[in-house]
Amino acid sequence: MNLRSASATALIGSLVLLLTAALGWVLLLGPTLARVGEQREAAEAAADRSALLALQLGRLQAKAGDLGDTERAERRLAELFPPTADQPGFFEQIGEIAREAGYAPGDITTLSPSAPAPLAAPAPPPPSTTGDGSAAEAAPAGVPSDLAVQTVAMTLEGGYDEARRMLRGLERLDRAFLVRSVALSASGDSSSLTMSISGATYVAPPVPAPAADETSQAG
Amino acid sequence: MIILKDRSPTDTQVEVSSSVNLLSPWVHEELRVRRWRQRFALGLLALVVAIAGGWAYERIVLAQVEADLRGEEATAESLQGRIADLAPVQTYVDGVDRRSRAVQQQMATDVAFSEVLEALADATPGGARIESLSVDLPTGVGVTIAPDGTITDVTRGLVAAGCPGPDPFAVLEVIGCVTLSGTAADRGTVGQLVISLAAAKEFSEPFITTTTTDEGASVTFSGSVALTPKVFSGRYDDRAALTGLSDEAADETSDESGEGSE
Repeated sequence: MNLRSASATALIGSLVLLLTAALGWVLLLGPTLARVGEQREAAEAAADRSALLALQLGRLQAKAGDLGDTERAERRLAELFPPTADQPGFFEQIGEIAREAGYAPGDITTLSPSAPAPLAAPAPPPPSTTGDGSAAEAAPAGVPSDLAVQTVAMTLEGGYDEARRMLRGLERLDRAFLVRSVALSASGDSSSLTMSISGATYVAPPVPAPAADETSQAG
Repeated sequence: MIILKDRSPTDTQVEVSSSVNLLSPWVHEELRVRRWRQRFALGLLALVVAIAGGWAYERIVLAQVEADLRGEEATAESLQGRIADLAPVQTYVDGVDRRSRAVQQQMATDVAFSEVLEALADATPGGARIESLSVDLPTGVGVTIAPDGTITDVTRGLVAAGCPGPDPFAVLEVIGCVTLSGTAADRGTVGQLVISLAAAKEFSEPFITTTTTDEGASVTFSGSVALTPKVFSGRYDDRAALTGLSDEAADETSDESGEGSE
């Protein structure tokens, strides 16, 4: 083939153009375009993340600005699951609902709360109680938990209606009281019934509220 | 120029041009090659300029995108810092939410025993008297509560064992067994008690195991009746009602905790 012919020149020239275009794409345009694409995706991801963080921050600022609802909820939950056994308060509550049910103070023949025992985490099923009112499902020693159970056994002497009202009172108690067993038995030929109740109350540590300066830091 | 005259009446002029190329064929070929080379040189120059221009443009775009990325990263870092400043608030809200879930979890099997006694009293016909009863709820295996607070397990993990019933083939959802005993005027009255207990929504499968009479006097009976899931109090089922916080807010809190930990 004569390299100085017109056809050979056209062929070689076309090849040079193609080679130049290919080299330009492979060495310059292609890598740059790829990097632009990568950086653009990264920028979009960063923008999305910023938007999400801004949303979170907005919600947190709103919460920090008005923690009243959360504090009220915490107080209500602290009534249901108090931070300590608070035996004086518990005895007072039981005495109050017994009075309202129609029992005389002497009709509560037994009221035996056990010492609170930590529950294993996560929260296990409700505890069963043994005959002496002790917790059968208390967590083994050393298991970290933010919940403890206190079993309570009580015996009362009274009528059927008093028993029903007493149970109603326990269901409406400010402190959560989970009744696990109820036994009623007649005392001789009279209409008096002996009611034995066993159940459980729970103890949970308080949730510490943030300090005032912590709630105003990101305003 | 040569003008031919026709004999036709109308004059017609025909122009004929002719030239003589005296260059040799290889010179023509050389000229064609030279023209091709010029064209390819121009094309190559244009291509290089186009590639350089495109590359320069992309570099400018890349610089802008990188600047945007740096800006977004700085924004995110700033937002994260401000969120970190509010971490105690998040911890507090999470703690309260966790406490409300614990209350719901532990108290999910709360039973309204007062309603059980009331239903039993309503079901007891005249002439019959309940003298003793006993109910001991079994220990459940734990109830599964959905993130939105709903409980789909009807018996909530409480499975009654050892409660006899009249239908050995029935598959019933019961959560506990009440054993009871009492006296009645006659066995017909005991039968009425069984019918009434079966009709009450709180009870299922009443079954009398013993009826005895003492020298024609009243009948003493004993038996059992199962408790249905209707006796769950449900007092602790609605976390929003329990705490005054909406479920939506609690869910947002959970979401934020999850996102924050990523």
